[in-house]
Formats: sequence, structure tokens, C-alpha cells
Amino acid sequence: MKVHLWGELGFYGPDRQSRFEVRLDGELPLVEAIRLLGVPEADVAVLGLNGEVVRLSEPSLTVSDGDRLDLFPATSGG
Amino acid sequence: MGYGSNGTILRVDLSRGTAAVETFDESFYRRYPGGKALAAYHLLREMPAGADPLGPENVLVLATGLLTGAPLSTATRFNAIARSPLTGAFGESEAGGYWGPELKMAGLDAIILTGRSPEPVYLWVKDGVAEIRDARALWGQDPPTVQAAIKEAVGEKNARVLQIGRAGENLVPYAMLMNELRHYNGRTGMGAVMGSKNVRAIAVKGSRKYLELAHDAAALGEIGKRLSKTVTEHPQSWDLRTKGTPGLTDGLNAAGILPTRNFRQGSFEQVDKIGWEAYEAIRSGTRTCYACAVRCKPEMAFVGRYTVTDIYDGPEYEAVAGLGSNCAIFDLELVARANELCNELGLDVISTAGTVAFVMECVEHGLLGPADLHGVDLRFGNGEAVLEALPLIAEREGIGELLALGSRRIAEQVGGESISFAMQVKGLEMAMHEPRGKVGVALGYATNEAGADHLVGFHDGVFVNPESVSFKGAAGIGITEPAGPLDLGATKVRNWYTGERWNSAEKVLGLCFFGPAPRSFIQVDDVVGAVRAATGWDVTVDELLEMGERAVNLARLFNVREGFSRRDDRLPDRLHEPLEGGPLTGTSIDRAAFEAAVTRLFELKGWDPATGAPTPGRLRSLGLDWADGAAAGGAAVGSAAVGGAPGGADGGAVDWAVDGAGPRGAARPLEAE
Repeated sequence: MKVHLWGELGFYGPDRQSRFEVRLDGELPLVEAIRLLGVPEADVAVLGLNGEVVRLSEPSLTVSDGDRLDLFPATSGG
Repeated sequence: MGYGSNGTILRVDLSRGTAAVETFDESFYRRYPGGKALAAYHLLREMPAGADPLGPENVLVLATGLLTGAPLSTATRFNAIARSPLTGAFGESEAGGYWGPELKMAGLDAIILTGRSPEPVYLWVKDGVAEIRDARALWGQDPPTVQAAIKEAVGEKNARVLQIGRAGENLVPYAMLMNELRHYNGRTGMGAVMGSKNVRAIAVKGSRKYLELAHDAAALGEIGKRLSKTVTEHPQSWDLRTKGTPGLTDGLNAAGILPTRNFRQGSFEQVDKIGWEAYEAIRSGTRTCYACAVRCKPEMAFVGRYTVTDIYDGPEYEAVAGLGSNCAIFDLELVARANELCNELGLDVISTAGTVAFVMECVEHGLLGPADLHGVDLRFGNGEAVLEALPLIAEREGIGELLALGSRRIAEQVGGESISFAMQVKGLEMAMHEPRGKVGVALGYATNEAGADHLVGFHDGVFVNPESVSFKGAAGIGITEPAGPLDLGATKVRNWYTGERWNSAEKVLGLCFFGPAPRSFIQVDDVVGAVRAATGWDVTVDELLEMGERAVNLARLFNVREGFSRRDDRLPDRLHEPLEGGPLTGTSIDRAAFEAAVTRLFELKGWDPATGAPTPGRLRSLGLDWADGAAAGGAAVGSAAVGGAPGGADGGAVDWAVDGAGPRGAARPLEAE
């Protein structure tokens, strides 16, 4: 799965990398995937799954290898 | 031991060609410690009511913050404050860089410019000694030439130069000030005010160190050192350091709040062409301000379809969105060139881009035609036309004469429904933050005394999730309850009010928006600790919030005196209409809910909800009783008593019978020249 941690969420990427790939075995609920990535859920404001904005609260959403996941923080001006 | 300030300001009367240094005591500084508070105090007291913003009666105050120049990341800012030629209201803009710290090290906390020089001049200030010099040969020259010529003429290659560009010389009402070419007081036309006084530049050089002014230099130095090591250990400052503001573009687009086509839409179909990955591919480096480890300033230098140098800053996010998505231009190289042109010409990129986008929409609606545009095909997406128009704005020629008016005045000329999509408040073009997706920002846009600025409080995302890094950072200023980004209820208003006071305190202290929590890494306790170490005062966070609130009230009093009231605290109609594109399609700001929120905000502030004026009780509690009369009558107290013989050899005594704090100062003669 291709992951892009935008803005300050890149802080939580491996070696502070914002863009990287992770290998997933099978399907994983989206919430679990974010926990696996080590990104604090509280700091994720917007999610993109394969280019579409999705809600973290949708329990049916899953990710698997081949997906692209974009996580955006709540940006606060500047 | 000091209290973090020099206790001195330089007053320059350009009509008389005189300059003198005035002193103020510590009790005065505890009430008006610097920056916005110090500058607003002098503007309110000294500018006669109803003064022409571009006339000699306007007063331009350049004031460092209390901590400006301290060896503390982000303590770099100074405020430029005067009556705005763009809005007629309180004009205000801050900049970082190097000029503010240098002024502090030159033994001055502020410079006050009054009058108008008969010929172009520049000011040379070295260690508290000021000289007015001939600038006729510099008028009309580009900023790098002016900067180099002044540094050579004064024999100080490390002098720091604050200057205007062609736009300021030609009194474009949204002309900016720039220091060291890369740092800008962009908003509200402070460059035009300096230009109206025939001042092209102010060069400063000092030999003091901030720590010499501090009460406890060792403690302050320790805080600064510790913080500089933690910049990369905090997600928000890490982000600012690695990406800077251009890293914002994609997230705002994904959230549906990237201003697009004059704020008609909230996302841009070709965002990838102006987003972070495109930016990173051509970013050539990053720079910083004085002693700041955040290092957030991006720059570009490339030779391609356009040649762009790294002489100036950016483009920052505001330029990327303003000249990119909001003008429907999906060409980052062109945006970079347009940004460079704005900087070279001395134009505020936000107001420039906002005005251009507004005219593009007028063209789309057939409200402006070829005859109005003087042959420049200024329609959405036509970047080449933007490049053609920008120099004409600075020269006020052809289409530039129209564009130089700014969006509100153009709407007044064009008529029809155009005012409903002139995206401005009080005449100041909105910054590139779409408030329909973060309604607290709308409260700031509507009620801020200077107009629609985005750096007057903390954006809603900060206060949404109590477990988030930013929310935890806000605990120190007393924010404990979350509120959603579209919520306009009591909690949101209370959070906004607290955030606004803290933001204003930053402007009083000279700290950048990208320093303290909740926007960044310096926790509230460390801000309080730094102020205590610098001053020796037993300040609390509540006193800092009150300092911020006092500054806001001074600005509001200025507006009241100039005839502004609650009716001017209103949003452009478009924000009450549905967004047309992106994830927030259909979202609008409910008028009744918004007005109720403004009423609630004014009640919290102790302002009359009907008029927006501070109540006598609130003024008393802030120690601003004296200002009640100034607001009503516009008496200019103590403004013209300084001066003396040409060259300032005789400063004369000044009795500053000021406010309830009882500070008294005395002018002393200029030390030389």
C-alpha cells in the first residue's frame, strides 16, 4: 500500500518519511491500518483512499496492497 | 538589570526634518510592552481623527515586540501600524526577518514617522543616532539596487534595510514594506503610507545584544537554547521546517477549503500542479529569520519558461493559492514568477491576487470589458495576463489604474452584484483560507479591526479533537472544550476569543505565529517563562492574554473614532451562499447563526453588541480609561511637541501625561547629526 502522510503527519512516518510503501497481508480495517502506521488518530483530519475522501468512522472501509492512502492533518493557517 | 526593552523610541518628523529619541519608563512598558500594543497606543494618541491615510497627518509606527531580538526562535517580529489607505481603518502588518531585531540592538524599540518629506529620503539609524538622507537617486530603483546602494553609502554591509518598492512610491493602497528583500509587512498598505511620506527606506545597525536588556540573561538564554533543540522533535514545527507553508495546499484541498476561482469552489481539480509534490520538485532551498531554528521560508530559483531568482521569498502558500487555484492558474512556475514580481514591485501578494481574482470574475460576468482592461485579457486561467498586469498595478497605468484600487473600490465602481463576490472585509482582501469550512476564521475575518486577515486567531482545526497535539497545546491558555469546524456555538466563540487574545499577545511580544502553541512547538509555559526572564515581571498567562486584549481594544477604539461600527464587521455575501465544488459543496455560513456568534463574541469582549464599541467598564478594567476620550474626540495628545531645530539638536522636553499607569517620559536630544 502506498502511503502519503501530509503536512505534520509526516513526523510519524518511518525515519520521518512522508511517502512510503507498506506491505499488507490481506485486508485490514482502515482504523487498524492507521494504528499500524503509528499515526495518532486524533491528528488526522481528512483521509483519502485511492483519491477519494473517506470518513474514518465508516467501519466497513478496508485497505489492502495496491491501495493508496493519504492522511491529512487539520491545517491551521499560515 | 533591564526589563527586555530599551525604553526608547525614535520620533522622526519628516516635514520638519527632525528626529529625537524619547524615553518611557518600565511601568509604561508593562502595559504597552511592544509590537501591536505599543504601536496602537501611539497611533491612537497621535493621529488626528479623520486624517488622510496618505497625508502628512497619518502616523506610521514601526514597533518591535517585547522579545524581538531575543535569542529565542521566532522572536523576530515587528509591527507596522498606521491608518490604512486601503481600508481607512486600523492598518496593521507584521514581518519577521532581521530588521526588527536590529532596531532593538540599535537601542530603539520603535520608530514613529510623522509628516511628509518634501523630497525622497531614507533614514539611517545606527545605535540610536538617526540621520535623514537624500534618496532622490534611489527613487524608482529596484529593491536590490536600493538595498546595496544604502549599505554601501552607510559603510555597513550588515545594516538591515526596510524599504518600499515601486508600488509604495506610487501609493498603491496595498503596497507593502520589505526587509532584507525576503520579509514582508504585506497587509493593509503600510508601504503606501511610507511612500506618502517620501521615505524609500530605513536602514538600521546596532551593536547591543538583546541579553544585555534582559532581567535574567542566563535563564532566557537557556530557554532559547533548549527550544532550538526541540524544533525537530515536535510535529508542527518539524512540518514548518521541512515543508514550510507550501505544505498546506493539498490538505486544504482535500478538506474542501482551498480557495478556488475567487472562492466560488473549495477544491481545485488540478491541485497536483500547484501542490506540495510539484513545489518540492522545484524548491531550491529554505531560509530563516534572525536566530530562528524553525527555518520555514521556502524559495525557488530556476530557469525554465520563466526565470525566477531566489532574491525574494517564496512563493509561500498564500501566493500558491492566491495566484494559483483562486485565479484558476495551474502552473507553479508561472505562480512563482508572479510572486517574484509582486515582491519586486512591493505589492502585497494576498491583496494583489484577491483583486485580480475578483476582476477575473467581473470579466466572466461581463461587468468589465476590453475597454476597462486596456487590452489585457484578464480572465480565469490566463496566467500570462496576470504577469502583464502586475507591473502596471505598481505603475498605476492602463489596467493597473483599475486594479490598484483594490476589490472593494472596484466593486463600488462596477456596481451591480459585484460587491457580493468582492472577497474582502472593510476593504482588505481575504487571505487564502476558506471560512465556510472553518467558521472561526470567519469570525476573525469579520471582526478584525484591520479586515480579513487570517493571522488574528487560531483556525478551527486546532480545537476540534481534545486528544490532538494542537488541542493539548491550547490547554495552557485555558481552552478545555472542543468544538467542530462548522460549529458557531458558545464554545467556539469562547475558544475564538481566547485564541484571539493569545494571538494578539504574540504580536505584542514579537513572536511569530509559527512559534508558540497551539500552532507550533513553544509551549505556553515557555512563553511565560521567557517573558519573566526577559523582564523580571511576575507575569502569568492571564496577564499576557490581557496585554493582547488591550492591544485589540486600542485598535477597536481607533476604528470607532474613524466611524467604523458593527455594520462593518460583516462577511462578503458569497460566504453565506453554498460552496460550489469539492467535499464541502453546498456548505454555507448561516447568517443568523453568524450574527448571533458575533453578538456573543462582543459580549465576551465587553463591547456593545449593537455598535461594536468597547464599553467604559471594559476600558477601565484594561486601564484604557484615557482612550475613551481619544476615541470620542480624536484629541492628539503630545504628538507635536517633539522636534526642535533641524537635525534634531534640540529635542525639547515632552511631558507625556498619558494614562492611568502614570508613565512619564522625556525626550532627549538626538545624540548627533
